[in-house]
Amino acid sequence: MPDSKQESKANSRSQELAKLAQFVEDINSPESDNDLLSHLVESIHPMLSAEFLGFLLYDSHHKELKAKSPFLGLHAGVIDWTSCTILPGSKAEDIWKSREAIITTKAHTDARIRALNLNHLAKAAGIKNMVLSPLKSNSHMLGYLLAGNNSNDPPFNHGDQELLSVIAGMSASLLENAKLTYENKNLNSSLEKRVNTRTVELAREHQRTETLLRIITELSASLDLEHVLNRTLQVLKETIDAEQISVLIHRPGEAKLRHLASAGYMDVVHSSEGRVTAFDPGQGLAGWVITQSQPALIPNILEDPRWTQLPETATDHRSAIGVPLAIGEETFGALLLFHREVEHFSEDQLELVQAAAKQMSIAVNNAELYRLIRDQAEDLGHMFREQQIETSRSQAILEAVADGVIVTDANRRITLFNAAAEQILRLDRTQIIDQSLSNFSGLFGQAAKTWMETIQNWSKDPGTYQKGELYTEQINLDDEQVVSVHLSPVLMRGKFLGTVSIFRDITHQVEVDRLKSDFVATVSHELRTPMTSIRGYVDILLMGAAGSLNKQQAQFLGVVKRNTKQLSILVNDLLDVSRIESGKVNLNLQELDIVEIINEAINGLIRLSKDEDKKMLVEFEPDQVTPAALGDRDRVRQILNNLLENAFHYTPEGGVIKLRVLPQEDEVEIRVSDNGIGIPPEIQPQIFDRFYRGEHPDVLATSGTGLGLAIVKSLVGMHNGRIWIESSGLSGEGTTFYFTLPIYNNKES
Amino acid sequence: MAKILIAEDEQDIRDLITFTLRFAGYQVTATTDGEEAYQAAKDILPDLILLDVRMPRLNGYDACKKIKTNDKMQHIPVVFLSAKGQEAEIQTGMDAGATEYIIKPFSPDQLTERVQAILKNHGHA
Repeated sequence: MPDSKQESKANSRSQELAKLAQFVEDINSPESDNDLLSHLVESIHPMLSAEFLGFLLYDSHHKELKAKSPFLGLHAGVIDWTSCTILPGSKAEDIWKSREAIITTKAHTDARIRALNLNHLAKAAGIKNMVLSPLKSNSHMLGYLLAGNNSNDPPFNHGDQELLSVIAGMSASLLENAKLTYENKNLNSSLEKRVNTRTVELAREHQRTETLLRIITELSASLDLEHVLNRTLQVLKETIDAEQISVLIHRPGEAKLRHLASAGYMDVVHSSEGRVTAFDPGQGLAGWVITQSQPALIPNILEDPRWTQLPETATDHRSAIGVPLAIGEETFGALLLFHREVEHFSEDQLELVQAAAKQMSIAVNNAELYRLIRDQAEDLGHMFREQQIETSRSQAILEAVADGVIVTDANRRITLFNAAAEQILRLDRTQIIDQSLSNFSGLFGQAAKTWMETIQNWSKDPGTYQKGELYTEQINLDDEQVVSVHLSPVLMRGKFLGTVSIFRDITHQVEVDRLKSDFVATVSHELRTPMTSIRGYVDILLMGAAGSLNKQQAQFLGVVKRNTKQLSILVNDLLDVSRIESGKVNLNLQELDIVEIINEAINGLIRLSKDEDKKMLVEFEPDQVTPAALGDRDRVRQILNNLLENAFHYTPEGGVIKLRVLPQEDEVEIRVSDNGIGIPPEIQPQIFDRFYRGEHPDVLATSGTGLGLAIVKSLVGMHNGRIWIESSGLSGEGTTFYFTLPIYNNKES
Repeated sequence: MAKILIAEDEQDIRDLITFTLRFAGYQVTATTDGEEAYQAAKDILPDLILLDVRMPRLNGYDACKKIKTNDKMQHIPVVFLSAKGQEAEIQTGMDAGATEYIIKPFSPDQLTERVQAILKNHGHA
């Protein structure tokens, strides 16, 4: 019955449609991927008489087609190992890319099933009839919907296949949607996470920026470093949650680190200059930070080698942050933060402290520069004031001195002319100051020519000044006034700055000298006349020319004679000294046979020896050739007489006096040695002083004026000779006097 | 016996020289100034003249010059005896024509010795 057949067909169709409608309704609210799969499997199963039903999904990442749980009719173990890698160029790829359904009744032997590596599954589960419906999305394959039956069942008919195809299409859409939904969900939560993270970061950034802003604001508020630093440290301390903050710097030239500022429970710095610590630069945590120019984040300072605890101190600090204070390459200080808890500070806080330190570096550096400039300005000001005081003091002294002072600059302009100079030179300084010295040559006349020329030479060529050169001159002014002038250059590091001339009115002094000389000459002369009488008459009496004398009379007259002689020597010596001093002795320089003069002097000594009845051996053996000396005959004789008489007087009877003449390069050296009492080294420097006679009793017992050697030295000096002595000071070793005279040179005659 | 003329204004010294030279065996004529000495010298033409420098009327230098300008007397040696012992003074004396210049104070021995030597040089025994 066709009607009933048709009717049953229509019935079956309507049943299928009802199933589909139900399916659509069922699968409309999937929760997750897995939920969706089991939901699909559960929904599809009632529509098909399939023992095996499940999905094979493609993992694009691993290029793998894999059976997914739940899979109806399969053990979990079988599900797990059912997979197929779709390799490029393989048969599996051809099948995959064809996107066609596979229908077979010999699943365990079908080549396509084997290519997709499902033959093992077919074998293990005993599947013969198998339909693989592709899960096709718009553009790509998601996998297959697998339905299978074992051998006893009839193969899937056309209707089943169509139904599977429709279900597969719908499942693909659902899976695609589910995937998209899932991905969307994931994206959302990841975005949310990122937003949250960013929000936290922003909050931190904001706090840091705010802190920095506050610090910058505090730092730029004033140049008063003390105030600025204290405020800044307070801000930093609150922000970072530190209990103690310190700023240490190393000032150039200072031996120790300086504690510049601090904030916290140990408030230690109360001065804008800070306080010098006991730390060497490079010592301790601050030292490490400064020398390494690196930050330090220390969880516990007690376990950190960089921390140095000074002896007899203790610390409560545990956590620490140290960051360098630097401008460019130059690190000049350290910012240190402490907390009494261990591991209190974090990397984040370190970063913030570093940022703050950068700002503080600029402020501290500015303040240090300001301090440096201020100190230098103060120093300069101080120096300037000192200089002013010194200058006015010098001015006052120069004004007050009795000597006339004239200062000229490098161009011979007169810059100073004091009151005494006005008086001595009888000039008005207002007409002199700031004028060139050359304008006044007429005023000083011919007498001051050399002085003027010397100044001129020095200013033209400072090289003409010899170091240590002393220019001294006596100027006779027109009105019989005599002025002495001392001139010296003012040099600074070899540069000629001008000259200083010191004038002294010596008119009176010269007059006094002359009077003294005249007086001494007159007195000496007047003394000689009575002395001639005394000496002469005593001699006559002693000669017995006026009748014989008894022994005592002769002895007493001997005393008179000796003292008269002494007086006579004294008068002669005084006259000599006076005349040498006043420059009245003019040498009559001539060619001298020194051997002859020595022989004459020796004759005089022999006479003296006889007169005094004191035996003395005199040795003199002249060299065959002795060059002639240049000298004044009488004065050289006087020198020799003096030296020989000294040797005679200070050598005990029976002593030896030796004379030698030694020609040297351009002079003749004469030696007079004795073996007398000698001269102790300590008094040797004084023996040429006037009236010096030492303290030796033998010397004091001998009559002498103490003028002899002074005259000898002056006379030798006038001859351009030298005189010196050698004596051990030991009695019996005696003394050797040396003096030199220039050699007579024909050209000089 | 050699004749010696002396001129010295100081009596003590004049007497001393006179005594010394007479004691030594000379014939001595003593005068008190240059002028007197010159006049005496003209009369007696001595073998040696001893002159003090500083004397009234005519000083020793001038007296010496006067003597040396007299033809009859210019050969007579003149010796100065003076307390003025400076180079310039000695030089003035020698320039005036003196043979020697003895500085006071001198000892009688020394004087006698010099006088003997000068006389010997001038041909007296």
